[in-house]
Amino acid sequence: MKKTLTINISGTVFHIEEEAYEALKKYLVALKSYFGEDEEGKEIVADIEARITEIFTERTGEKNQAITLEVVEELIETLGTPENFSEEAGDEEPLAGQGARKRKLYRDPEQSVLAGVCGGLAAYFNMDPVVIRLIVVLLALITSGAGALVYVLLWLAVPKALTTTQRLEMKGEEVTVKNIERFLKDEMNAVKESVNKFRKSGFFTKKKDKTSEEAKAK
Amino acid sequence: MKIENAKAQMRKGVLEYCIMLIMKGEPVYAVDVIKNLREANMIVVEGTVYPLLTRLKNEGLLAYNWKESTQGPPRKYYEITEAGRTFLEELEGSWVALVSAVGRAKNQRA
Repeated sequence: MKKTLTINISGTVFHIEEEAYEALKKYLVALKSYFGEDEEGKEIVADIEARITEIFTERTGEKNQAITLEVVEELIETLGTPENFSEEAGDEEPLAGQGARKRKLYRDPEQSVLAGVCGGLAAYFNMDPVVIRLIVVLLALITSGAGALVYVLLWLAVPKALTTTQRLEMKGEEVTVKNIERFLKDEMNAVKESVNKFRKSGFFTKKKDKTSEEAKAK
Repeated sequence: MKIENAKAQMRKGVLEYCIMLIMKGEPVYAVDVIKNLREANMIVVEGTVYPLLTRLKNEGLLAYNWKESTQGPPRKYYEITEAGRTFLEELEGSWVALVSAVGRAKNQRA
């Protein structure tokens, strides 16, 4: 006997076995990560999900049977993995693929409490800047201040990552036109989202309430 | 891996060209395009085509209409736009020129 979950893809409901669900979830995450979070990327993923729905509908038939791991594995073979896509469409490397790439140590202006030294170190070692800061503070305390000297040295010696090229190098991504485009798009989206959050935060509705109260008083 | 890269480079523009060629007739569903390309041995997996179709649509070369389907959610049926036709003409010119250039280069070997 197997545990079954109920899922909804493109508005259609399916029963799916637990292991099949795990495999499907992993696949969808890989797709989303490959195609990105911009308008176009979301559209592509939506198209693929609609196709997945069609395939599942075919396979489960009238009896509403649960989708098995086998079905999901066949689906992935038919649709292909992100590696397949980039191979067949002629992209030099997977859009979001990372390998060990040459990283350069910079100071990160976006992750800076003081001078971005810890942020830059974090990008270089691919770690959380908060963790790096804690380590740096601990080291400074243990060495009774010598650690702070090291920090200042780094501050002076390590350049700030100002240009897009430098910022890409800091994160270890290859400096290609495509990566720059993607980098800037991601940044723009982040700004858009911040603006939207700001709008929704009720900053403006408070003003609206004031004016409607004034109108009522009249 | 170098030969894979070289082959991939060759395929890059040609796949889009093939897709545009398929669009010449009546509106088609993505899966029909996929079947066509598979039979021609241009692709192996379906997923290659979806991003290309969306990109071409966002560049204004293709447009789609929704059609209801008994086999699942509504489907996008794509067809070529006026801008798409112009683009295709240019691609065809480019293709002919390339084929002729390669032909000449081959003959020069002797």
